[in-house]
Amino acid sequence: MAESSEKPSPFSRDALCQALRETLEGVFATMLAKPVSLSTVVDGTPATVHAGSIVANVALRGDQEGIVSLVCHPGAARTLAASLLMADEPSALDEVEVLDAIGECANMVAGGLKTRVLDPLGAWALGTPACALQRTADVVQHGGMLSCDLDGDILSVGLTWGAAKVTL
Amino acid sequence: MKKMLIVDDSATMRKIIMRVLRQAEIPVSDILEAGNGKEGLQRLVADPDIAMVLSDINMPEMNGIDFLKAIRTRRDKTSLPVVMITTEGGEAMLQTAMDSGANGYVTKPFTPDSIRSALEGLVG
Repeated sequence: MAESSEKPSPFSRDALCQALRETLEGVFATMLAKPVSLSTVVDGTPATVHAGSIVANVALRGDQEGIVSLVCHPGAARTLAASLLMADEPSALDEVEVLDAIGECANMVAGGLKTRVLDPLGAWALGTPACALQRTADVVQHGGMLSCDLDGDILSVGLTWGAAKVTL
Repeated sequence: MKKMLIVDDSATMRKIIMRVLRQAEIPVSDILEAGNGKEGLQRLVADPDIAMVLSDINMPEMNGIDFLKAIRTRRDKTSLPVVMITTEGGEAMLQTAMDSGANGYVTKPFTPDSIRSALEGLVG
């Protein structure tokens, strides 16, 4: 079961993992024409957010509150943005374009999670994406995330529910 | 050929929608953009030739449902085709959009086929 220090999560860990996998695969296959290979980081394994990474958060609000986080290593962020925008050269994109693209990707992932898992449980609202460039030294996040390799760089998706990070 | 307005707070998504419209071979003469419902309304007032609207739902300032309702209160826009393009895939939001006067509903991520299907009969 998913973990939380407050209320228990309203859905099962398996349902959550499955929904996130399906959503990511759908977004990549449809919008990027790119197959994606997802791996689940072992429960409780710390995940490092490197300086220069893009972090996009989208809030989900209902009986409880959650945040879907998309964390892209610098190379993965540019690869993903360039694929979404069909840009020939990822390095030609400016920071605003990359941030916006990753935010929209996080938005689609959070929307897919809401549709697949939360909507059947009641009324939930989806927030607008908040994106930021990780400018400071590396930060270690505790808890598991779904990760995938994007042309040699890592993209991860995590979920925080209530006060605790859900272990995937 | 029609003039179309795309309303989405993401510039990336507006570009993607424009690209997919071309891929789907939708006959559009000109495409205008707005970043939220409030800007969208200003565009519609300023340009009476806009003949179709594609709008996101989750946006700051004015969301897509309030934008749609505002359009439908205008006597000259009651029959303006409005298609919602959103990450909200649930039945409840779909029903809210259709009850508010939407002519179509597309869930992100989308394909050229899903866009073409939603716009079928609305463009010409």
